[in-house]
Amino acid sequence: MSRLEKTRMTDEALRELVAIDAALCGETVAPEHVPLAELALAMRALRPRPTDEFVQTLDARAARGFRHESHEAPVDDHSRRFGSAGEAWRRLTSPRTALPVLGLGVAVLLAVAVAVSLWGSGGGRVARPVRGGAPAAPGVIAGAPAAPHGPLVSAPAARPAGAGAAAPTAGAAGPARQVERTSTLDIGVAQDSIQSAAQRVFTLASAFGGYVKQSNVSSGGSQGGASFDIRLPSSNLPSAIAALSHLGHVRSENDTTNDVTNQVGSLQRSLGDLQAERSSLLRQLAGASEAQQAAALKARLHAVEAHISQLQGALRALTARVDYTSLALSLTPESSSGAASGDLTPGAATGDAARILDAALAVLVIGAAAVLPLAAIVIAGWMAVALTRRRLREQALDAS
Amino acid sequence: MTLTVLAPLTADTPKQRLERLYGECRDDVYAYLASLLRDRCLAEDLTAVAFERAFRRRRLFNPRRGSERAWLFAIARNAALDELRRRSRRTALVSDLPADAFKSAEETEGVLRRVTVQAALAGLTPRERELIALKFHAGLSNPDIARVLGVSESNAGTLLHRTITKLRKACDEQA
Repeated sequence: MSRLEKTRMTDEALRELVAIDAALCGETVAPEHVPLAELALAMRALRPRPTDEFVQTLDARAARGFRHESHEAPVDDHSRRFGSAGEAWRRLTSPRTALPVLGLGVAVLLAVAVAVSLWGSGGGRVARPVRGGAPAAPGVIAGAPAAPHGPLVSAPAARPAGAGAAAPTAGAAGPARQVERTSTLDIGVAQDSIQSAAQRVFTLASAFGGYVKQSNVSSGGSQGGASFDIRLPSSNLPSAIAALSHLGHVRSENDTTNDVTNQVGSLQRSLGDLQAERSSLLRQLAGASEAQQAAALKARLHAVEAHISQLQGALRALTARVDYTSLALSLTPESSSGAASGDLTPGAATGDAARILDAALAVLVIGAAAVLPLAAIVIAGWMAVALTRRRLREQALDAS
Repeated sequence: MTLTVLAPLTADTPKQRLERLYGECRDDVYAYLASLLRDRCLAEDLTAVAFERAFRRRRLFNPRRGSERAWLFAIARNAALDELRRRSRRTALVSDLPADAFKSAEETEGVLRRVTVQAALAGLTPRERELIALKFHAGLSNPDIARVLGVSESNAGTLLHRTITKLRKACDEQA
């Protein structure tokens, strides 16, 4: 007999099954089904009956709820609360328990999303470590150093002659790379705060030992804004950017580096050669006896000195670019930056709410992407175990 | 033994419903297990195990998946098959119910008839004997048999009819 064989019962088979049920219920059956009814009653007569002793024992255990005899979890008020894993799972998945847990989980996810949203969208910039910083002067944002001389960017180990006029550099230890940096920073500022923010840019640039090389500030409506070309000591750049970030919320930031160590070395070598040639020419000029020879040496000396001057200028400019980073700062007016700049307006709140919902949705999607495959694996494993167990049970019956 | 379907007692607590179920199904569960296992002592042990599990899992019962009676017999069946699996790894189940274990309630049935039916039953496969046990010894309805075996109701009826037909032929041959 096939276990799962699917066949349609014939009408005769249906009538015989009905007759069997009728016979077992003590009802009369059609004459043609009497033999079948007798067989059914005979089979029921063979029904095994439990002994009285077993019945009494089992009844007693049932009266006690199978508490003490069970090797498995007892059934009492305690187990009702802290019972078996199956009951615990059922209670956990019941709507009364699952809904609050689900709500709590969603609330936690939303809280994480809000935190991520606020942290990543300019509620304020985390200040970078300030090296060599001192308490800020009045009117200057905290983090601005009193003396901008922190060795964050390497300086040449030895200055060439004539290049010492370049900017403040820190004492470098050992051979160091000469790195030229440029940075761009775009800060969103409330429209009515452009002017005041621009003023603070000048103050901050000065406070960090730098200066504003070029600026353009315009106000009025949404077309307003400000841009600055700032030169800052490279060692103070991180803390300066951290301080400037407090002017509004950081829309974008970009840092570019360029290693110019080889260029500096080449210039220094050329300069050394020319200075040696100049000394030689000076010695030859001192010993020259003829006017024509002296004139030629002077002409050559002038050319060498001009070249030296040119190389010194190039080296100075290059060193200046290493010591001072060019920071292109933009102040962009924002109409919905109220929350970021401390104002609370309906528009700003709407914008923030949209960002928060956007982040929450992203978190939910990411969470689902992580959980769904795991859930699928668990469900597939559970189904495989259940099917295997069922097949083994059926095999045990067949083998009995 | 009764063939009546238990009325749903939604007003009762799960424990009260199970106590009522115990009173109505105790002998039926034992009869089913004794017929399936052909071992009276083992049937007694597993009857107790089945009710213990049912008491412990009474809150897991889902009325939408069948009657309480079918749920209880599914528990008993799983316990019995698990025991058969354990025993098959150690030794075969050799004990059988002796003839005097069957106490005929129908005095009108002749001894010859009973012996004939017993011989015919012995010729059935374990799966066929289980169907007979569920129908005639446990008193389950066809829908409940279907749920216990995990097959459709139509399939359960077909299997049952085939088994009875086979049994009838065997009885005729014995006679």
